[in-house]
Amino acid sequence: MWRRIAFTALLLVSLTLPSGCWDQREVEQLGIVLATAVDKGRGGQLEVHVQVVIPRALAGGGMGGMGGGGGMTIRPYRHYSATGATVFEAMRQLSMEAPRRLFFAHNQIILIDEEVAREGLREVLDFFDRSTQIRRHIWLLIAKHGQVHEVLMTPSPLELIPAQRLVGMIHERSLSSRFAPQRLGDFVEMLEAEGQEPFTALAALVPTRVEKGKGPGDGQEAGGGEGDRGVPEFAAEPLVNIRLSGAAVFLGDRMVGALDEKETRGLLWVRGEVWGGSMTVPCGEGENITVEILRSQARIAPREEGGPLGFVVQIRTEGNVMESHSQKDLRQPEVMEELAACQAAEIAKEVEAALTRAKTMRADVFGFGATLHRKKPELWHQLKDRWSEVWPTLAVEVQVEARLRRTGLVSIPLEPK
Amino acid sequence: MLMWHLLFRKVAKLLKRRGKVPLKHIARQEPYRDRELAAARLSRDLEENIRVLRAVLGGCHDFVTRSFRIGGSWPAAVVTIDGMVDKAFLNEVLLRNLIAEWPGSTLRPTLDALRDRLPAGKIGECHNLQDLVTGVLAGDAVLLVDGENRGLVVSAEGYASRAIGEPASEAVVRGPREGFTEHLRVNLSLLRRRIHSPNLIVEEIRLGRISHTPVAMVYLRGVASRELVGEVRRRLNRIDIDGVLESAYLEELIEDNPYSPFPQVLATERPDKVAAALLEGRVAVLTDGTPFALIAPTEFVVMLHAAEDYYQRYLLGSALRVMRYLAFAASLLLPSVYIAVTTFHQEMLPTRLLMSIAAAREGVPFPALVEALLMEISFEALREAGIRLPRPVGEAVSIVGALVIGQAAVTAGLVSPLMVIVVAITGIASFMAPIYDLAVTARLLRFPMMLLAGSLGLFGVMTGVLAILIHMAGLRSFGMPYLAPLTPVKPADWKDVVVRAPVWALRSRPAQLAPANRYRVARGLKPYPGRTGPGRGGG
Repeated sequence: MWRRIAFTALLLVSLTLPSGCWDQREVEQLGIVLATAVDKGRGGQLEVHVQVVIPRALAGGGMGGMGGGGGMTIRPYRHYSATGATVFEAMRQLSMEAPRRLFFAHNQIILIDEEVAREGLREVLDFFDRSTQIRRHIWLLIAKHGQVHEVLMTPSPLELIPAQRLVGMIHERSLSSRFAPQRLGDFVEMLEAEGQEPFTALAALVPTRVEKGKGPGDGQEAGGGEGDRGVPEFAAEPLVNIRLSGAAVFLGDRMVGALDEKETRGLLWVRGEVWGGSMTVPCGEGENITVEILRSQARIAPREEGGPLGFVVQIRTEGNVMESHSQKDLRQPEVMEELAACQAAEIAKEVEAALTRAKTMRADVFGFGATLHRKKPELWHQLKDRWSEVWPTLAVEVQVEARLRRTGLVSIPLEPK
Repeated sequence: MLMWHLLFRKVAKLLKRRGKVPLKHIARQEPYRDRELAAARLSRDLEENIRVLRAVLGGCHDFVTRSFRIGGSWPAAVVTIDGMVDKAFLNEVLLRNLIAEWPGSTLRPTLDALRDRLPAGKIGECHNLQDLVTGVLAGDAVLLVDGENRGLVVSAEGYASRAIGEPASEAVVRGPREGFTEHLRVNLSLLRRRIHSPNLIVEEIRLGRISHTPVAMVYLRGVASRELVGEVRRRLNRIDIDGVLESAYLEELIEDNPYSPFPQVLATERPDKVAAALLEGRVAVLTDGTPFALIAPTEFVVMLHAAEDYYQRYLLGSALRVMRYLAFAASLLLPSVYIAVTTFHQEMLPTRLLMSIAAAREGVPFPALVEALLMEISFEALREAGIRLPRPVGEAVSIVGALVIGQAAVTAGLVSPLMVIVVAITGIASFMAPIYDLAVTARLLRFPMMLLAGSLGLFGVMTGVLAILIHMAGLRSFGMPYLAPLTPVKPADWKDVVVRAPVWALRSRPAQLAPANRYRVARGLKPYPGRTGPGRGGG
């Protein structure tokens, strides 16, 4: 019995010890990458940036040992860049600069330079799609040409790490519904789908209102100690802010243009992805009401038999009146219906704008082709080879059904006397 | 010389076979065997009896022989062990009656006549030395009368024993506060007081060649299955050991799987728990000298059931039970999962958590596995020290331990604060197991699990969990599958596993016990507001 037990124990130990531990890595040995960016490098190569967190600098209170008395002086993230012919080659170049093994499982943002996108994303995305560490639900964004580095380096007091700041903005996207970010997996699916062109949001820098001369270059310095006149100085505001807006439109894997913010919402209406945002609706002469969008649904269908090919887009939405500059009595159902009709017309305008712009780029970002593929496969197979020429010529009928639900706490507008 | 010796041996053997060894051969210096004592009949000569007794018990200075004359004329003696008998009873009742108030002094009183007149509750008879000695050593007073070759064993137990107190290891908020004591008679009375039934059977045997510890097997006739009772009896009867000092001795001798880390017999100091087990058709084994009774058979899930589950409203009882299952899993797995996730599967953590773990571990010189082992071992050391040390000192130790380990180790950068939290939660979770034996099992298995996690990650943890599950599925408790009613699947018994159904819904006794009496609750007892119910005023 004891011999058997000893033998089993030996077997177990030799099973675990020699075979175990091979991919073991302690948390503190990891360089946790939160964002990856692909930029154009020298000589037609790719330049890859990674944003690595410095956890020690993020931890509050308990680990105060390093900061000394002067508050936080370490920026909680660090950038590494390298160039290479391919993404992976550039990444491995990074290991010559980074002291820790880069860990991409927590990468949240892939930022791609506009110029790289215009040249085609197939080669760039292959690595991200193939890698076991990178997840498919992370966000893919396009940065205005030449701004990749700045977008990744602009700090903010609210979210210390730019990558998380971008993610935060994306999470709150339904407050405006004016940019259309895509997850890596969705983007790749759109890329491979028939009759659906990919799109994703654009990131750009906008100037902030800071006093000239006070803001440091990229805001990385914290204001240490006291100012000249004994007035405590706060960390200077950065000169620029990141703004996500619009949508980059692709034809195949090449970016061919962009939708502006209004057109982007038009796109989202057609896709039924408007889950919020505000909309100012003119009603009558110079009078506006502002509606908060609550939800929307959309349905695309090829037009019924008996006419030339075309599409019907049905959009249903609900909203609340948030602000009214008009003296209309919102207690009357007829008034509300009238306002809703105004809003429906306004939505139709946004959709038309998106359609017009997309048609000029010939990119079917709405997925009309995919709908046709599902509903009328024979027709689709006839048309699919020249779809990008065909679809801009087709008529699209937009039917909007808007409903206004609530009017807030005020039913009769303020009336000064 | 040798011949004489051989002859003597032969004669002694012959006589022994007939059950008649002359008492004079009993007096010697060697240890006495029960068989020899049993074979030695008492003599009619009081002097001879006392002389032999002195020889047998002569080394015992607490052995007392009180010689007197019944009614002032007939020689007799009472033999006792000092401290084992109730002195007041001995002096005031027994001796006073025998010496002073015995009237028939002209006629030698026969033992039967004495027995008829003696004011004692329980009187037995002994014919040989073994019965006499056993009685005396158990706290009885033995009355020997000249001219009688037997003695009267008068029950006069009066030794000090602990009062009934609250069970230390199984306290409840609502429920009886009585716990077993070290006194078998008291413990049996606690059971009798809960089940007033002639079918509550107490079978008593003495176990231990030297210790002769009284052990009682208790069951409910007509509820417990005959096979089960027979099996418990058979296993107890085959025990041949020098002494039984705690029920754990018996547990290790009657369990089904001696090498398993899991307890297969439930040890409890709560009489209500034993009574509940008896009512379910289980068998209890009570041992003199310990407050812990054994309940057999016991399935795994029963170990996670506290008595209070049944005393609180069933919703709360069920919720607490669910928590207890989770806590058992946590006390077994939490440190290993933490190790596995932080050293192998960082992608499974939420990003912000990963960053705070990384920040906390920054500067910790050990790998997570070593860190966890360090903390767990020091926690176990603290716990053990806290139990062993005298109470006032123990508290001081636990305070110092908490400060040193919890605070200073973190400040010194030896361990990360998160690890302290993990170890603390694990410790608390292990205290949630209602049965101490099971908590110990989880504590024990935690360490191999941690090693597996440290070398193979979650794969190792799952391997370990599977190994434990396979092992548990193979265990038996008195032939009953250990994991029942989960596997083998007995859905009818799931009312009382993870959740506890209301009492009116717990109609049948656990099926795997094959109780002789299937139902314990009458049909249709679910309360409802009837027309004559108290709520409606009765009309």
